[in-house]
Amino acid sequence: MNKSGSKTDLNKPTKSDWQILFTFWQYAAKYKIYIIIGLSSMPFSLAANLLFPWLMIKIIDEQLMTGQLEQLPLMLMYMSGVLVMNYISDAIYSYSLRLVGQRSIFDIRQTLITRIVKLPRAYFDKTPTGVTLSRLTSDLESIGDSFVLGVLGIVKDTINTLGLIIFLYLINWQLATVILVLFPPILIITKYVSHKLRGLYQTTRSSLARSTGYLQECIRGITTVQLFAAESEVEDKYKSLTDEFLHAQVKANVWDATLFSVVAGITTIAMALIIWTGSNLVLSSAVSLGVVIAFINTLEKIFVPIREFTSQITEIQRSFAAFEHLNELFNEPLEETGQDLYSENEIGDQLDTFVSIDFKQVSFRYKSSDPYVLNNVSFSLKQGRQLALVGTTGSGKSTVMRLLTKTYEGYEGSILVNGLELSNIPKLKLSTLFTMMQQDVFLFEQDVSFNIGLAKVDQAAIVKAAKYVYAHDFIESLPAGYNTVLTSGGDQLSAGQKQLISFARAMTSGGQLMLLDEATSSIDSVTESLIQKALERVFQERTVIAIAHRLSTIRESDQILVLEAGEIIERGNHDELVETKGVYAGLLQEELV
Amino acid sequence: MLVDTPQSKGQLIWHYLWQNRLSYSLAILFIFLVNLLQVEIPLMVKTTIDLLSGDISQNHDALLNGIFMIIGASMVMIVIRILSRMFGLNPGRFVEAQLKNDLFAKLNRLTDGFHSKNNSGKLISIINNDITGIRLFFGIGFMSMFNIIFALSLTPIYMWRISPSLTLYCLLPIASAFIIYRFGFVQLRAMWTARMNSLQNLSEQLVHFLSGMDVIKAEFMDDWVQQEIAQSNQKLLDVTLKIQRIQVFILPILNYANEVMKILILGLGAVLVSKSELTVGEITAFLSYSVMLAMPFMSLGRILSVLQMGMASLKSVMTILNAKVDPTNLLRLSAEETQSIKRSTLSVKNLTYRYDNNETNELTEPTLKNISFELPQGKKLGILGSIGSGKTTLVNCLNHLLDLEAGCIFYGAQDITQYSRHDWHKQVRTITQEPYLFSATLTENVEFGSKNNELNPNTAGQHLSVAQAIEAAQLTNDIKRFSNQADTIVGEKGIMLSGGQKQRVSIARALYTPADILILDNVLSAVDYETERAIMGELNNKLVDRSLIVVSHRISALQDMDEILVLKEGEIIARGKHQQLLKDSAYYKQTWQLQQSEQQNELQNDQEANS
Repeated sequence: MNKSGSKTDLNKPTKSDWQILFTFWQYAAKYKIYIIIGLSSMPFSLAANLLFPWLMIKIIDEQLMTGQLEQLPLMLMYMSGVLVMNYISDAIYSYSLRLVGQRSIFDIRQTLITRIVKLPRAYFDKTPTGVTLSRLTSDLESIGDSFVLGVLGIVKDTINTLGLIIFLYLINWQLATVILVLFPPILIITKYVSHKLRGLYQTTRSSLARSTGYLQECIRGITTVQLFAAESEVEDKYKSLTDEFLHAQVKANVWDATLFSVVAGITTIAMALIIWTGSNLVLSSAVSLGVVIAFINTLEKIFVPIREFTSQITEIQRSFAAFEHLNELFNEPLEETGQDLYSENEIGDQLDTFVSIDFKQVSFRYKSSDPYVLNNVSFSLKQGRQLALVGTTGSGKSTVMRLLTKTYEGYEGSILVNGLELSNIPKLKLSTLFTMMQQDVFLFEQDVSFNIGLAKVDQAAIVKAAKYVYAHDFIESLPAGYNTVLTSGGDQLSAGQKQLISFARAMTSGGQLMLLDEATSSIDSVTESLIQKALERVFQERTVIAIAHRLSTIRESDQILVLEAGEIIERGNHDELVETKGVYAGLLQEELV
Repeated sequence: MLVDTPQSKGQLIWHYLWQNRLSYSLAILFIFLVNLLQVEIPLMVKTTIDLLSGDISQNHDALLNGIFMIIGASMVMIVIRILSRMFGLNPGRFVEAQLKNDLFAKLNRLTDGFHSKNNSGKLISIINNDITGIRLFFGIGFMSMFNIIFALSLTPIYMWRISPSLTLYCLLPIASAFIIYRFGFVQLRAMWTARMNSLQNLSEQLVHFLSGMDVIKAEFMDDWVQQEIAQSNQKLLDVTLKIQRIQVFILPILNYANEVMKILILGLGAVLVSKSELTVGEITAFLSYSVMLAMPFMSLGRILSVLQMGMASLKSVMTILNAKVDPTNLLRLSAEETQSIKRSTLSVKNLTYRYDNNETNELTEPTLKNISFELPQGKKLGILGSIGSGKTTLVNCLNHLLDLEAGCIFYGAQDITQYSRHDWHKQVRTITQEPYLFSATLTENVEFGSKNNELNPNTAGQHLSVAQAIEAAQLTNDIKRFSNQADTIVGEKGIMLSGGQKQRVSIARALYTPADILILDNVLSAVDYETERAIMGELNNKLVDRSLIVVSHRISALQDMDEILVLKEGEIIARGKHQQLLKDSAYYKQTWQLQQSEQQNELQNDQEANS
């Protein structure tokens, strides 16, 4: 069953459990020394487990049944010694291997973070934050709780149980066979139920992730929920997700209970069978009463692990779902994977200073099923020049920026940066060339200085940048000036102030080409006029591509492109476009009204 | 029902126990039966073993009888045990689901004062992680507790019946092991809480970074992010390992007590058997009971930590459940009452607002000073102001997002603080500067807020369809370009959309479920002038008889309003219609000119550059 299962799995896109586990093994392999220490204490633990029932048989048959108690104190001391050995070896085993597990989880979490930062924008578009968060928290928690402990238990129990069975065979094969006969039914039931449970846990995990994602969205948008008096609407939806999770979970409970109880029941039935078989053997003096009693007592040691085995399996099942989730995340293609990128040598010093950008017949759509958002767009920009993009929202202005920063990839046509094809330039190389001023301002929960300099430049440069964009005065007026820590996304700042910080941030980045996206949109006029001044300066000193609603901002641009539905419908400088009396002139007219 | 009254931990536990009383009663019954059978079976085994040590051929029938009794009892026990686990474990899940819904409902009723102090990452972590502790508490925790209680009362009784002295000796190792266990457990308790906090910090940090992913990626801050996470990750690892040390080195002591008991039973038993005070069968029964006596203590090890964890989790859940909700916020107007207050005049009388300063407790400068105005139904009001002028604060007072004192804002004759926020928000719809969209289809986003909310037709007795609302918000052309048109999923927080598109979706939302008063707080900032004009036109057409408050720094959006208030440093420095303000207010005029005349703008810049 297992073999055929894995064969069919090969054809599916998902890997089998073993393959997935193997990919995670490398994390544990790093801590080989602890694994070796842990495993080498196992033989001692096994020996203790076998010596204990053996000494028990001895006591029953040689002291208890005969009434000769001279050797009894010695035997009891041996048994106590065996117990101490058991404790020490078990503790070493458990601790060193749990250590490996927890350290590996630490490492996996760090690796995931590194990976997530390198995932393309498209991943974040399709994955709610709640899902990614639960990969990094609850899935890893479940591996720590369920997988590590489950596997440790199973390994230990399997070895001990196998050892015991062999030991029992050596003592009496008939009685041992009685125990062995009960194995297949237990295994079949276990297998069947685990299969059922597995499907159910997959359902519970995914419905949990969905309800977590929804909850998170609602809580982050709580103001919107309240302002729209939509409390009961979101509660109903959340309740339906919670119920879905509950139902799958309750079903899983029934299977879980059945498995547990059936195995427990079989243990007591085995007792009866051993006594029955034993009675015939005792009758024919083939076996002593001590052996029968020892067998009955050992049943716990064999069947309890098997019962634990099933609950450990359940735990591990649970963690397999988590492994699968993590594996998905590990299989998300990173940015720039499988692309033919220029090597360091090929690039040489060609990207040290910005020379030019050339868009040649560039078309782009976000998904192959979507319509094109850019259609045969061509333009070029040389160092020291300014290019402005004008157009209604959705005309494709922002897409141009997103392509340049390689936020989205897979354009058609050609984009040359300093004569090199953009798609082949490693993203990191672009960071020294381009500085993007983001449309949505994100502030770290750090102080103002950090938020401007992002720990890349010194304080002097930060203050300089802040002064440059006229943010210095308001920053000084904050409770702790540049050291004011911005909490929960900069709630203590107005939208305009946030933009000023973002602008200052862009100034410190030192890119030679500034990309400004709707930079001055929601700032009030008085502050905006200050920013205008800064912008004028930027326009004079730097190479700029700007998207702006204020046509005044871009008036001095060398080239203005008017976009509509992904196509350039007008191009030229301000004066030329005014001459043409086309769309741009119309927009200008409107703005003046 | 949990929403309205603060409760103690005990009341809370009792509330959920009572809610699941049927499950719990059945579970207790079945658990008792399981335990009874469990102590009976060793007695049956004892009888058969004693038969074995006697003359077997004589007692063949009795032996067979004993064996069938054991098998029969086992079968019955399987069924009862399944039932006991089902009824014992399910309440944990029921409580989990119920509590999640309760917490969510509570969070929805808590006002901005609470939410601005508690960030969303922390709240989410409480609902996701702490609730696991509570589920285990009400599920496996309670089930095992009853198991332990029954096992610990039945087993010693059965043991005592066989041999009182041996029973007492058996209790010795268990009692001493339990003392060691307690020692470890007290330490464990503190560490569970510490671990929960570390995990919560880590979650908060992760949420924060995930939401700033664009900046992190654009600025190549990989290393910094990794270091920051590594710190929280390390803290979590350290405390986890401390917990594991206790679990590995101290807690198992209890398990070994069981084996020690077996040694005692064999040693003392041998002496007693030699004195003929005990049979071999009774020793066998005793060995079985020793396991049954040790097992509850062992699971007590696990269960006490589960209960403890549950208590810790309950505590953090109660920070939400017991947060104070203004009782008026739970009131709900009836349909008739809602109808009767419609179309009233909004009047603001001497509104002064100052934010609490938590750190210093000093009285801060008020953000709004003596604001007064009236807005009769159907009129349009504009509010103009610069950064820090108090525009958004005023909006958040009008929609009662901020906690207000009574006597400042009235709707008709009624003070709005007398209404619940929920009822008031059905009258006042606010479209915020940074619109919030859900990762759902565009249509669902437009429909947001319409369910359970009687659609509010305009005077012509009709309301807009989703398509009409989208059209009026100037989104139709944009939507044509989406892969699934209005059924396109727009991604979390509307990530697939540009700032301007998001703002227009939120306009469509407001048009689809219109309220009597619509407040647009700087909504059209990311929309170009042409679209802005079209949208303002549509708003005027579609919402003829409704009141409109438009907050903006762009005069172009305000110039057609019936009245414009000019705000500066929290005060109304001028008011009137556009033309009048151009004459009366220097500030208004300056702003107008700044926005109007590029030439003047340039001139100013040149002057500054020269100086």
